[in-house]
Amino acid sequence: MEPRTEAIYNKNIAITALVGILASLLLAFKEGVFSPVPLYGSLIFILILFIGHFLTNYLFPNQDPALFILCCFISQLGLIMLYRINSESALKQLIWFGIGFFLYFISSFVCRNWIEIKVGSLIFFITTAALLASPLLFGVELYGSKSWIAFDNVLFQPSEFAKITFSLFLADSLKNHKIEKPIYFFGQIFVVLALLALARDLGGAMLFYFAALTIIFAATSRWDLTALGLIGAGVAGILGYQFFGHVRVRAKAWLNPWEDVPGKGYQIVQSLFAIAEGGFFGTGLGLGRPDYIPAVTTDFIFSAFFEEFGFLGAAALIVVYFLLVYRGIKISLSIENSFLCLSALGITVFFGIQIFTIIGGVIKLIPMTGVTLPFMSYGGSSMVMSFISLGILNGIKMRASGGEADG
Amino acid sequence: MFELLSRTLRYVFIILIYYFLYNFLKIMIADLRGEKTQPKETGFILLDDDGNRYTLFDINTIGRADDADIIINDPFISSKHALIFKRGSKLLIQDLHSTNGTFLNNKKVTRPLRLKENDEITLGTKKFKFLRSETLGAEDRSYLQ
Amino acid sequence: MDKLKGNIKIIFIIFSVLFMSLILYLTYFTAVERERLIKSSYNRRLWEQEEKVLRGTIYDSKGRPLAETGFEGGSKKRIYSGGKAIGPLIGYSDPVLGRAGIENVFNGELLGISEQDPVTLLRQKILGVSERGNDLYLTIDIDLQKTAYDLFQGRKGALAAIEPQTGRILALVSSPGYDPATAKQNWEVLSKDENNPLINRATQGLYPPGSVFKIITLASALTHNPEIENETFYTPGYIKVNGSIIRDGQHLWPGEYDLTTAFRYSSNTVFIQIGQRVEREKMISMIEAFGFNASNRSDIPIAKSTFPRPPIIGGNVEMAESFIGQGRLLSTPIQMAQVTAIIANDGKMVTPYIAEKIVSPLGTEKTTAPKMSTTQVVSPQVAEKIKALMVDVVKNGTGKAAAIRGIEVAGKTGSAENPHGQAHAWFVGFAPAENPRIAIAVVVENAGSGGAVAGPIARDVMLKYLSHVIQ
Repeated sequence: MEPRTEAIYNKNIAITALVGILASLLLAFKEGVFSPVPLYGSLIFILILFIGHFLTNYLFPNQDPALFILCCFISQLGLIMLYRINSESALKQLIWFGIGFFLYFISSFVCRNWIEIKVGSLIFFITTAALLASPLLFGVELYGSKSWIAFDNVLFQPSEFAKITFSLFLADSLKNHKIEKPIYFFGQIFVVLALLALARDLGGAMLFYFAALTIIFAATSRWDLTALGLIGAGVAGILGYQFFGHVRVRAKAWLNPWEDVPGKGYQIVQSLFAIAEGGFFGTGLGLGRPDYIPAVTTDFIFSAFFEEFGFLGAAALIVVYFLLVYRGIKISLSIENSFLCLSALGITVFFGIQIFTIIGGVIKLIPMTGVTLPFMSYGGSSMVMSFISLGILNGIKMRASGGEADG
Repeated sequence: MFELLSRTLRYVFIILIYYFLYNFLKIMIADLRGEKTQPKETGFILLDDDGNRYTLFDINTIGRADDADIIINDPFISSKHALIFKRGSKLLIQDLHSTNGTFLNNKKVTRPLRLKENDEITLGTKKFKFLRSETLGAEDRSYLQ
Repeated sequence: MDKLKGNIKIIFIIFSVLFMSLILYLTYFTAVERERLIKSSYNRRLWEQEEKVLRGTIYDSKGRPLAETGFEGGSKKRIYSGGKAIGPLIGYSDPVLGRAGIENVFNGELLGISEQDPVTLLRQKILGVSERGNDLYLTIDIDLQKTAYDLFQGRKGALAAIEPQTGRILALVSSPGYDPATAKQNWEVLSKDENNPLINRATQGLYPPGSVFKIITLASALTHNPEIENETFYTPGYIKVNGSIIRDGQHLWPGEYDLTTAFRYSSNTVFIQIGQRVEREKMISMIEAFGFNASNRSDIPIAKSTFPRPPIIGGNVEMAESFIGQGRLLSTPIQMAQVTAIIANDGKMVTPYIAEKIVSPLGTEKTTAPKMSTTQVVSPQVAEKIKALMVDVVKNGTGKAAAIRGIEVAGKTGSAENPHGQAHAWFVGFAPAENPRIAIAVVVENAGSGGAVAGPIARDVMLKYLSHVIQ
């Protein structure tokens, strides 16, 4: 790494730590008397941040350090908001963050060394399908979709992990830049989407659909298929509107939430009020009313962030997410091996679409779909899986740049 | 008091967040600029007997001279010894009238010759292997540890 | 491989566009939609603020409280002291009934929820006044308002009086009114009353303006055909337009009339004749310049006064009816007061406003008056001529009932036919003619002759106001 770039990374680590300390000091005074809990939390976070950055840089000299810094920055803003909404969930999330970092490290290491071990697309497909089918068999229903599995009070969403295996499945199937057995291939994709639809996780189904479409386009350059896919999405949307009650409810809440504010439009309208309250500079940390927004720690965390950090803060957050996508794209562009390239692209595209749909949903640019905001929303599986995905991306990067830096 | 503190600190937060962004955007812009000016990697490399790797770009001069693209300090290598360049999707090697000659798979190079994977190139007394960069990674993992 | 890289770049560009669209939409949202959402009555943050904050006081122009929040048995109570005369204007603010009137329009200011900067906040904290909203001072004088309201004697109607040079609203009466202090107890009765006391007729009532509209017809004719001043017109007592007959009033003899006498006695026939001589497009643009079809620029909501444009009104008959203020033309009383003020103000239009100033708990003042726009609607010469004709109406014509001893009054009467019974009685005018201080419009529903019914109300209000301002 160039010394100049390294200095910039170190500077940004320092800024992240400073934001954390200031925010935790502020939150420590929130109830009028000084409470040291947020400060401890912040120090633990900063410790993980420092160890994570310097340790991985030492062990993996040719990794992409920006990935870790960016996701830590976002996670920290998420933790600040969570602590401010509900201190207990913030502490849990901090534990998940620690676990996430550990798995990031592991998955980076594993991918650097062994990602090319040949398992073939079929294994990836079977894993994906098994993951998605598991909650249907022994899952619990939560927020209207049956996509969760409970282990001793810890809820786990297998579809988060399926995003990774699905990306690898697509990359492996398409590594020769063509669809070799179309019926077989599309059949597999259909099974994946059907399993998501059966769990009534329509946001997830949409995410997988668009990710698949993007990867197929990238690998095969088939404009005809892409156009067909987009038309298909439109048709599916119309059919969904006609035949599924909850699709209709969501679409109506998007088109005119004011029609039924206390009912169907409630969530989105509360989100919009929060965003309106924020204005350009925000109300200030701790001065907004996130308690008015339903599902604020998961789906609507962005609205709560907007209310307290304002348009300027939220726009910056969007750019930080964009930088994350940019780093992913940059990694996939630097790789010659098409399987690795498509895997990196798949993981990045999942991040990108997910971020766009959830932020677009809560600000009413597009209809609301219940997906999480990576690194920010409260939830173990989302946090952990986002870290693992990023770790894989980092591993692929190291794999590709091979020994250049070592040489 | 908290209210006042928070209302004031929000400006500080915004400044910090944008400073953070500014730093990363600086890197991003440097990247994008670099991509345009940097020569493109061909995906092939030369590997010498000592395990040194030399990434091959579109045009590479090999020699002892300081301004050669690939500098090799060996008494039997001329200051500008040989040239590896891209034509279409293929890489070719050409001798630059060196004192001790350029050999491809032990045959003297007198006119530009096409390079294939695993070819052996001899410059003076030094031997190089012509390899695809990613094959190397898979084949030889030892250097990573 | 190169193709794949190209495709990835395309995907990257698509993501750039998507993320950029998020930021652009948020920019639009924060810059445009935000205001509306903050004030939405569904927004719980507003009522929460209401709980915490002592709502500001509304004062009249002389500093007399009209609505203030006090404590009664430990809980907050809004006290209204303006009575029925100003009820429909002030409105109410109540967790059960919601909000109406000034209480609704200036809710944000009264609660003080506009963005606060740290410095102001610090000062308020130190001075211990952060729990108060802003006080609002109106341009209305409650005495004048009460006088005006009493003159209606319970009849349905409205009155709007404004200061011609500034647009300050001096009185804004809607009769019958209601007392906001008892609105909650009487809600059942009030909301079902057929006379609609809850509605502010002065700003929301849409009436055919009748003959008072002839001022605009006259302004248009004098602007585009100045020669009519020296002409005479013959009326047989009626005029045929495309086979339809439109008649003059009964007090008008058939014969030759010049412009002064035609205006003095309000001849429909003559005004249709002179209106027809103006090109239609020029006529319409003059009507719109006087404020018809224009969106509201005042600080209180005013219903849009409408002049239906072709093709909605296409026929010559409908056009002719418009020249005398009938047909499909509709105007609010405050709009007619504004038309009158334009004549009084040498042809210049000003936007009416009701908030004199807003005073924060720290004493800092903020004016919210709309920017003084000085659109020249008609030339000062034309305005001067119309003024002279209006003075003549009060001296010698239909408006004699509005005359004040010692003060020259300019005015115009109207009796607007309508489908609900007897004609609406209109009077518009201003005084003193030489140096106008007050412009006024009065309408009394289904009361017949404008001169006889609306004229005296206007006279008494003008007299009351002028006796205070002119020493």
